[in-house]
Formats: sequence, C-alpha cells, structure tokens
Amino acid sequence: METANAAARILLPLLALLVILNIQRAKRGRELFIRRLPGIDAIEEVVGRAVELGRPVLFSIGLGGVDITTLQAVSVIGHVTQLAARFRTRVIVPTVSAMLIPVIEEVQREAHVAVGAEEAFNAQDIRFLSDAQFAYAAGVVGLMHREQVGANFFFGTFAAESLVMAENGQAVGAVQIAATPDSNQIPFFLATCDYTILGEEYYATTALLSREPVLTGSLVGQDYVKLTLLVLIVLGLLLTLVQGEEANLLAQFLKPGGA
Amino acid sequence: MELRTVELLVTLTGALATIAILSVVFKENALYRFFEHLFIGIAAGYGVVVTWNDALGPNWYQPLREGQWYWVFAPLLALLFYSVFFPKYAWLSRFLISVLFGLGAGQVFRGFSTQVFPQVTSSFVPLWPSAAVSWGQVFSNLVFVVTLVSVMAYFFFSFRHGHKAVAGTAQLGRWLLMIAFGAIFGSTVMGRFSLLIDRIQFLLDVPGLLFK
Repeated sequence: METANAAARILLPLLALLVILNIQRAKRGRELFIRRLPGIDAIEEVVGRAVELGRPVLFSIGLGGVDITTLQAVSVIGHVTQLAARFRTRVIVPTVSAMLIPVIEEVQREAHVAVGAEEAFNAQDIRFLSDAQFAYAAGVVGLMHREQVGANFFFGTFAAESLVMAENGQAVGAVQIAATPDSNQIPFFLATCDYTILGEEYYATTALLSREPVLTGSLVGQDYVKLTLLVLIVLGLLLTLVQGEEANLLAQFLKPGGA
Repeated sequence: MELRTVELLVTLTGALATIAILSVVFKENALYRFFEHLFIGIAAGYGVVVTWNDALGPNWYQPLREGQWYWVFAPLLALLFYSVFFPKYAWLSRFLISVLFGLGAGQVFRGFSTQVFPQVTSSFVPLWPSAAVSWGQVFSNLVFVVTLVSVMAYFFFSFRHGHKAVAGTAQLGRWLLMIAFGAIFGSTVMGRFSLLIDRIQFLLDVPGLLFK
C-alpha cells in the first residue's frame, strides 16, 4: 500500500495548521490585509456594461467537473448574478457537467433572492451543453452570437477551446474577463479579454469578493504556506551549494519514499 | 454500400462540417447552427457509448454478471441525482454531491505532497560551476531561481508591497510572467496554424477525390 513519507507526515499537518490558525484569526474578527487586484475590481464594471447595453451576461465555467477550481467559479457566479439580478439582467451559465447544474441553480436562486429579484430567476439559463470539449465550445459560441451577450466571464479550467470562445466573445462586442489557474491558457485570455486574473489570483477572487473569514483566513494561511516553501527552496539551494546536488539532505527528505 | 461511395460521403460531410463551423468567423448562420447542434448531439451519443464501454460495462455490469450481486445497489444511489427534479426530495442529490466534493478535497490534499514536494526539490539547482556543471548551466539556473522567487513574490496577496525591494521583485515577477506567456502564446499559435493548414489541405483535396 502507498503511504505518505516522513516529509508529508511532518510538513502537511504543519502547513495545514498555518491555514487553520489564520482562519481562526479571521473568525475572531482580526482584520486581515489582502491587496486589491485590478481584475477583481473590474467585475462590477463588466456586469455594468452588460446592464447598460441591455444584453445578458454569459458565465462559462470551462471544462471542470466537481473540483476546487470549478467550485471557486461557482462562488463567483453567485456574486455576478447578484450584481446582474438587481437590474434584471440574465446570467447564462453553459456547463460541461450535469452534476453541477443543481449547485449552480441553488447559487443563482439564492443570489436572486438576496437582491429581491426572485421572479427574475430562470433555471433555463443554466444549460448543460456537452461534456465534449469542442462540442461545448461550439455551443458556447452559438449562444454568444444568438443571445448577443454584453459581457463574458471565463472562470475555471480551460484548454484549447479558450481562444475559440474568447475570440468569438470579442466578435460579438462583449466586455470580457477571464480567470484560470492554468498557465497554458492565460496567454490566450490576455490577448482576447479586457481583464485577466492571473494564475494564483484566481483563488484570491472569492476571498476578495465575499470577505468571508474562512476564505480570507485561508488565503492568508496559503501565503504563509508559500513563504514556508520559499524558505525551503532557499535552504535547499544553500545545501546544494555546500553538499552538492546528489547529497542534498533536504532533497532526500522531501523525495517520495524519502526518510 | 460501395466502399468508394462511403469514403466520398464521409469526406463530403467532413468538408461541409468544416466549412459550416468555420463560417461563424463571418456571421452566425443557419448552417453553423445546424452543425453546432449536430456536433453536440453526436458528442452526447458518443458519451453514452464511452460511459458504457469504459465505465459501466467493465466496472458495474461485468462484476454483476459474475455474481457480485451487491452492485445492484449502485444504480439506486446514482438515481438520487435525479431527485433534483422533485423539489421536495431535491436534498437527496446533495448527499451524492457532498460525497464527490469530499473525494475531490481529499485528492487535492494528497496531491499537494505528490506534486508540490517534487517541484520544490527540482528547484535545488547548483548555482556554482563544478566538473558536472558548466557556467552556461549556472546562468540558466540563476535565471530559473530569480524567476521562481520573483513570481512567488508577485503571488503573495496578504503582504503589503510597500517596501521598494518587495514591490520591485513582484514587478519583475510580473514582467517575467508576461515573457513566459508570450513564449507559450507563440508556440501554441504555431501549433494551431499547423492544424489549420492540415484542415485547409483536407478541403483542397476534396475536389480531387470527387473527380478521381
């Protein structure tokens, strides 16, 4: 049976503790600093443009199923729907995962209720298109053209279809904002979207939008995790200088099956 | 049906589908709409076959036929997903969804040590020349380390970028990211062009096949 090595047994609980401690700090009411991100500040402006134009918003959550990346996108759907629902603007969510439909429905329904626009909620705006990558892309492109969307949100896991969808979004004149942790797709969004949220910033989005203690505490905790990893990297580099690459004690400790 | 007729039909359908899907570049039209829906429909049908052949057949039906009777309960659990259509019982679907979320979270936790730790050890590169490490390699390693540290600095969200050194490092990280994104963009666009050329070549070959 595959089991964790000593590094995983020691470091994982320690790193998890850093996150838990910061969540506790945030829950106790401690004001935790998180710097502003221009892409996230632009969300309101992008929805506003669609409202001004009197066109719907399209929110694509990419190819992800039930995973952390997609769930972050689903939280952002709630925020965007609240902003749009105030002005009775539709938010169309095409998806590749039928399993996510009840979750998105619930999020959109709650967002409508929160702003007193229950009657504007329409479950038909959450659409399962296809679980095949390019069939989904073809469907999203068709929706953009037929609905003449005013704003596009691309939040989640994307692959080669990212450029196809964002390029067509440009063609219909939609204001576009994209966020994905996948570094291979960011260049295409940078080239075609008005705003792009880069890599790790993606995970900061929900914390910045909601200011929920669990999310902000978790984000700050993750910064401490990154800092710990940075310290480990510097230590590893120094040990390589002193001991050489092969004899590096820290590398041996961290490698699978090490120590 | 004759083999050549089948070959001709497949080629013509492929050519028509290619032209129809590409036609959206000019304007959304009825031909695009037809092939878009056809594409989605075929993908759905294909998905059903793949689900049976790769998942349900070998993992559920086969064991059931071999006498593992308890698999009969699996579809009953799966059917809970359909409770979303009955508002009174919709909460039942949340049970399955929460199990899936839990599994996903567990995998991420496990993946941290299997993905991040090897990345950390890969960064322990030599920064001084030796018999096995040339000056060129040292320079390359230095670029790698500077990029790694500055990009990590850019992605710290809870530390103020007030100090000039921190702000400068983060700014350098952003610039280096943009250079990397430019390189990715260039290489991928080259790949996409080769796909387009292949498709155009296919279209150009169609008349030849028709009048062969």
